[in-house]
Amino acid sequence: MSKKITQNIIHQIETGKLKMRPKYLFIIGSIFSVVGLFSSLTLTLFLGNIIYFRYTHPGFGAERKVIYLLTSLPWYLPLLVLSSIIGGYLLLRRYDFSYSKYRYHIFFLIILSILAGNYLLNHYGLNQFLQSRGYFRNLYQNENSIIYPSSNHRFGKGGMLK
Amino acid sequence: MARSTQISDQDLAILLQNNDTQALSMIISRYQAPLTRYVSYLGCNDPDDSVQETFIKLYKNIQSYNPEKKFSSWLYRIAHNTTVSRLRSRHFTLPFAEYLDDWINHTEEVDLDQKELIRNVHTCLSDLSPIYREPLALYYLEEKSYDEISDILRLPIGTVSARISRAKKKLKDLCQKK
Repeated sequence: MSKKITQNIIHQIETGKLKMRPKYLFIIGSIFSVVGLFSSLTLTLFLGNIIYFRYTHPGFGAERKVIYLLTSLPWYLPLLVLSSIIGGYLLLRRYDFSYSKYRYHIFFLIILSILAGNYLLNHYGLNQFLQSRGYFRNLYQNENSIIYPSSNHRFGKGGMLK
Repeated sequence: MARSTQISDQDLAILLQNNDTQALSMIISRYQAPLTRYVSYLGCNDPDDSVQETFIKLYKNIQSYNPEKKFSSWLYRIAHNTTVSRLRSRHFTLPFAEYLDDWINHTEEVDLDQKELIRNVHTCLSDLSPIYREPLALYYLEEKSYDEISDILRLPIGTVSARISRAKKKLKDLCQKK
């Protein structure tokens, strides 16, 4: 039987019916998966931060603030998350023979890192730091001008609607 | 033949990654019998087909194998996935006893009493639930370590240890009832 199996498989290889999957597919799949993981972590942190803000800063304008933050979400981020996760899955499902046996531990670590990330953002001044930097500066200032139109953010003291 | 026994599994895998089909023949001759036995423990009634499919998948996916890891665990994992998906796709009957009779009758080095004992233990083993049967068979019959079983079944070592311990108790109960 050993010889029969060997002959069958070798025959399939020689006739071109059986081909090895190229290594680059595996590498691309791994890259997609890593990008998917990090972009989904970023997205979750962003959304988690909004939820945290919503519950720690209740009051007038809170709903509008959440809606604004959601609409100001970079459009490419959810797209990047979806495409890289789907791409990674499609490429790597063929190689479903990995050694990842601690899936639940990894899942738990991801959840923990999201929670810890949100806590750090809000309690250690990272939010304030981001408010004064690049992309986030515009984001935060726009948000404040919508929620507090009469404040002196972006449009000067009194705001546009004065 | 000398080459076959000298080369490690990992080296054979590397040779196969470089398209050496002779390495594939060596892997098949080295692993066919243990894999046939293993997939039979899983309840597969056409172990030869399952093993052939395993080797085909091995060849297709050899580029994803990491030579720093243990080759046999990787190969057993493929056999596990292949057999489980075959069992899911069709309604197999348990062929274990049939395979076992064949195996025991062809084993010449054990006497009749031992054959009877082996047959009884294996019959009890076939009555065990697959979640207990598989780690027990891998540990005692395939002589795999907890770490290797953990890799093959993708379970934490603690779970493997607990399942083997429970499986032994259940097997003992089953054998005492018979």
